[in-house]
Amino acid sequence: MASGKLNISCLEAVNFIDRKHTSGLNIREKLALRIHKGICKYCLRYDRQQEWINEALNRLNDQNVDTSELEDLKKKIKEAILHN
Amino acid sequence: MEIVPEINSESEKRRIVTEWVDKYSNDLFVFALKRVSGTETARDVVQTTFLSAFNSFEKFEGRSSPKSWLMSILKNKIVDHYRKAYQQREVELTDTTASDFNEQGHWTGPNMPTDWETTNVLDNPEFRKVFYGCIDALPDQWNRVIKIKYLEAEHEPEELGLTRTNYWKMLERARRQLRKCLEINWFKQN
Repeated sequence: MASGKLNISCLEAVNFIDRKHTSGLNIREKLALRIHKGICKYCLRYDRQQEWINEALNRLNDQNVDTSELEDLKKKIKEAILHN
Repeated sequence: MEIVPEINSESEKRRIVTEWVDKYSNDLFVFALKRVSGTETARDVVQTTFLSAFNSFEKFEGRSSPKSWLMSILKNKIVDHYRKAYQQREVELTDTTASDFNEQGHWTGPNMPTDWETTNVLDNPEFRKVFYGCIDALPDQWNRVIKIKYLEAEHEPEELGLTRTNYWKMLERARRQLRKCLEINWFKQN
């Protein structure tokens, strides 16, 4: 954990970016990250990619179920009950 | 409450549970899909749920609706599934990201994030396959935290034996791994 310094490495920046999505960052960490992203395009990309993955995962929620697969499953379960 | 007070005959029991299969399979399957990795596992837990409902039919006393009884069995089956996976796999605690950086903490050559072209990519069925594939390819533990966080699972991390901090750590690692998998299997190639 960077206690105070604003000059952070890519490794630290990536850890901050990851933590942003879970437990969160304090003000100093946020500032250090912003400065770092201003000078490092790879960490900027990493940050945007993680944001995007977040959105993509949220959109996964509306996945649909293949109904033919469901019919097949029902049939199998009924057979299993019969032979139980 | 649709239940008859005394159901002694096997065939009557069979008839009722079979009826439930028709009525509730869809809901159970959708519920399971959001919580376990892969349709195969989802099918397995749903099937186990109905079989166990059939075998412990006596315990269903009509105090709850059939659906909520089945749901409670399903939830237990899902927890069992993860407990088993948990015991089988030691939690990976090494930091996978560390190897992407040199001693100064800079990105090293091939590990530098490339420029992603994400426009409309989520609507591309080929990409969706890679995306689901990468989620399924995560170690079970990580896969599970992704599902807890994003797929509206009703489980709290604590219920599954995870502390909040542990859950966060795993979630961070899961997302890192997912990013890398997408980078290698899609964005570097397209």
